Amino acid sequence: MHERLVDQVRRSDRLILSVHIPKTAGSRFHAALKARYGRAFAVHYGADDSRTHPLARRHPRDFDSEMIRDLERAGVRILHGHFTVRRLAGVVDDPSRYWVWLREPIERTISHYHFVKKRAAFSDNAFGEAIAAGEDLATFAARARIAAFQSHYAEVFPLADYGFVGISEMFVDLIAREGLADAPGASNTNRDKPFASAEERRVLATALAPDIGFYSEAMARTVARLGAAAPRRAGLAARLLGR
Amino acid sequence: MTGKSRGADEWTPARVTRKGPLIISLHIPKTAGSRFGETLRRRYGKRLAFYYGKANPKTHPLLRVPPRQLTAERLDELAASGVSILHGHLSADVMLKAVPDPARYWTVMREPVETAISLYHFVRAGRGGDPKLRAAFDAAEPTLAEFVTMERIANHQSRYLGALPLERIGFLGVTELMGDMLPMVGLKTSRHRGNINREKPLASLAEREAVAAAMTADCARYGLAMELAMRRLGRRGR
Repeated sequence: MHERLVDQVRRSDRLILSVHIPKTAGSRFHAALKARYGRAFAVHYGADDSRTHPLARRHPRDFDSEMIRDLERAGVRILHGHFTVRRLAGVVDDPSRYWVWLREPIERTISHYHFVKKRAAFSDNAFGEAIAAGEDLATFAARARIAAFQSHYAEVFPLADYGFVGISEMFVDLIAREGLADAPGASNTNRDKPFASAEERRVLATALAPDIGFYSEAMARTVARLGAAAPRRAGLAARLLGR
Repeated sequence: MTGKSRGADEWTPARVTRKGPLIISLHIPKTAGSRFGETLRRRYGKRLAFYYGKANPKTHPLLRVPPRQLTAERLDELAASGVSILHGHLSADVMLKAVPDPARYWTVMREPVETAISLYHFVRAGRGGDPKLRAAFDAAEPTLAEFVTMERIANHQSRYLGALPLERIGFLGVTELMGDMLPMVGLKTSRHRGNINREKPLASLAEREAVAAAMTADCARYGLAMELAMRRLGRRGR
């Protein structure tokens, strides 16, 4: 039985780790959490990023139980950012304390590529340098790190055991069901992103099989969860599909 | 890449009207098409016709012929009898010969890996598939990973969709979002439960990855359908 996000926060004072996989509606979720929890919500976007909570200004590999405890003592209930479950599982080994959103992998990869490309001129990461040098989308998608990008972030515990696994395409319905208010103006959508044809997407699908498999399980579980909940409109898919 | 707006911003849904033309609704197996058919029946009554093969009692009396005989003349006759929408297991490539305008097609796509898993368990339980497929299944007793590479199964949804340009069809639904999408074409959900397989087990991640690798055309089309749905529902900011 799934417990709503707001009820999870209410029930326990242990820190929840909200894993923001790039290009999966994480900025919009960030805004919704910030609006609801204020100073009890903190972010980690790198050791040197001014948005990062002062107690968390270190690389995720250096996160430890003492840092988690210090955040809890400071009244922080949720830490949201670009850290992987894989990296933190040794420090917080309870999967029910992780929240994550997943997105249809082909479009996520297209968004990721164009997001990096737009910033390539002033980006200092390896992807940005390669794209600035002319790397195309298909080559980008075929990188091992990109092909299993969402899996790399979150494929550690069984998906059934996570505190929350959301589907970005159902964001509007899910966020309301979880007791939170949407913040639609907060997303960093790239409106200049071109529309890819089915043929262009097929090249990407071949590379992205690991993430497509991962997303499909999350989708199946989400549809099942909605079917078990109150019969609102979003539960239709579950009733249609009989799970 | 083909530009930021193609197929999304200029699209308008094709609704069913009494004046016509006849809408062709492609029911791809295991995409909740039975439930969708019931939604259509409740909304349109006798203005809806089904096609599930020439011998199926659900098939409209004017259409009890092999699919290749669903000619433009026969469909005109169907429309003249008062039918506004035809729903069933129809292949786009066959239907495009009689109805070449993509705007007259509706269809619904479902997440391809889960669709393939559903289809596998449906056929394995002896509840679906044509006789040739059932015979092939019984002879091979395939695992899920083997099943999705069978010629008649690989890219199952794409086989139904053929050369149909999805960006330009009258309605391209996504099963998982149907509650939000049905109003685009003036419909509401019904409570019909469809042909549900409650015993279907959840597949492992390894199995799902193998299915995804065999279903690249379906995954690509589903990705396109989902992105179009997001744009058309005004949900790009996710």
